[in-house]
Amino acid sequence: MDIIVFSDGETVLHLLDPRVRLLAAAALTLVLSQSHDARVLVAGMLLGVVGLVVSRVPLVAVLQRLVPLNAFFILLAGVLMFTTPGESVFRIGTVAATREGLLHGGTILLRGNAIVSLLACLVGTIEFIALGRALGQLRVPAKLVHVLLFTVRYINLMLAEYERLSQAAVLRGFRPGANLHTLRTTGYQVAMVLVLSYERGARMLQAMKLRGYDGTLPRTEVRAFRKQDYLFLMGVCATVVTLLGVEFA
Amino acid sequence: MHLSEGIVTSPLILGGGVVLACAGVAMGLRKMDESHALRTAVLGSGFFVASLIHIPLFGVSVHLTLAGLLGIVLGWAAFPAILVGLVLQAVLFGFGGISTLGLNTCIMALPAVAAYYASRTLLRHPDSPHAVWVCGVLGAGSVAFSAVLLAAILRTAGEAFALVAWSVLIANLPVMVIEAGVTATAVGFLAKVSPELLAGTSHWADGETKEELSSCD
Repeated sequence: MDIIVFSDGETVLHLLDPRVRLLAAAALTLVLSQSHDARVLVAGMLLGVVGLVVSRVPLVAVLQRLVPLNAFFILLAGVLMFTTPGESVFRIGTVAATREGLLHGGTILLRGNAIVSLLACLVGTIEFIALGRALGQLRVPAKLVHVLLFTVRYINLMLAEYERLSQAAVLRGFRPGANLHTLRTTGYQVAMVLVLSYERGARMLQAMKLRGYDGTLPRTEVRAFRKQDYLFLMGVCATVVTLLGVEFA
Repeated sequence: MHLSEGIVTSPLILGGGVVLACAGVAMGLRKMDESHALRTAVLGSGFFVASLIHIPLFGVSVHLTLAGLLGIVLGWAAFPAILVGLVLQAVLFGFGGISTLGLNTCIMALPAVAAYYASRTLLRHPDSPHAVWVCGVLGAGSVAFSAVLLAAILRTAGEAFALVAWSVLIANLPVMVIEAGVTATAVGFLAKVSPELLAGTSHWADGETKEELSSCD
């Protein structure tokens, strides 16, 4: 399992305050997810592409996300083309593909890609610690932020534990297939990962209590927005207003 | 099982998902103290890893969702754990999304909480012989519940989605079998190795962590 993070660049987008990027992503997603206007969706897609280029996220990683998503969308569009009632464009056998169906599928494709691209360049470029901090500053409950931060911290370790278990199984001649033995072995592996994570959580809690953990993390200084943050926020607001104008005009 | 970004546009459905998810998460957070949050997170990361496991099934590979097991182990804390998992998936892999976060949390977490309540009454003795069947039903049932929720949400997107909704239901039938087997084995294993993990029967959530806190002070 390859996990590629986009957060270690130093582009204009990376230097923006994480809160600004989160707010921008939320606002743009909100508009795009409600939009039915092709012009708005194309504009959103263009914004996403520009964002991906500006943030210089690796192309391979972006494709890794977009290819499976689009395979699904194209399949969906293929179905919708025939199941949406409307004016028929061409026929295969007895079923007719409709213009409305093609449009419907196309809109979903565009909307999905636009949102995922924007999400990748705006939120994907935030480092996780900074993401947790930014969410906390945006009034997300502290406990939820802690769950997020600790989950991120421990995923790699648990992944390593699981890989160790499955390596041991392979060394003992385990080959997964469609049979009861596979289900049982996987069940044991899942349960063992849980037992290991449970025990690790208990040890970690004790270690942290020993160092004075009382359920809160030290508060870090809240950085004020800088000039570029305000500029970017204004730009996003202007874009949102323009998109809404086009949508409802 | 995900609802992808861009399919559902109805503000009523999307907003309803957000409201329900917020209520569930608030409930989950209210039930956990700070040290419990930490352990929920570590267990949550274990579940996240387990959900990456793929099982080959006649040419295609099916990945586990483990919502039933998650509910049995975490109870209401399944809501925050699942929300965090979905945020990570959206940020790390681009699956799911922001506008569908509420709906996707409900699709996974409502069956988990249902499994939790079912296990509290049905699974008093997780090491008894009939427990295997109960866990199998809980595992399969939670997948079915998720699939029905997803199909129903898709159906609200329009008449044209009827076929898609049906195929979601049918595609999940083999997943139900797999989840039943894995959940039953996993719970049987936990009952022997680490029975305190089965929240439905022993509530590690309420009693144990508090005790540990005071013993550390």
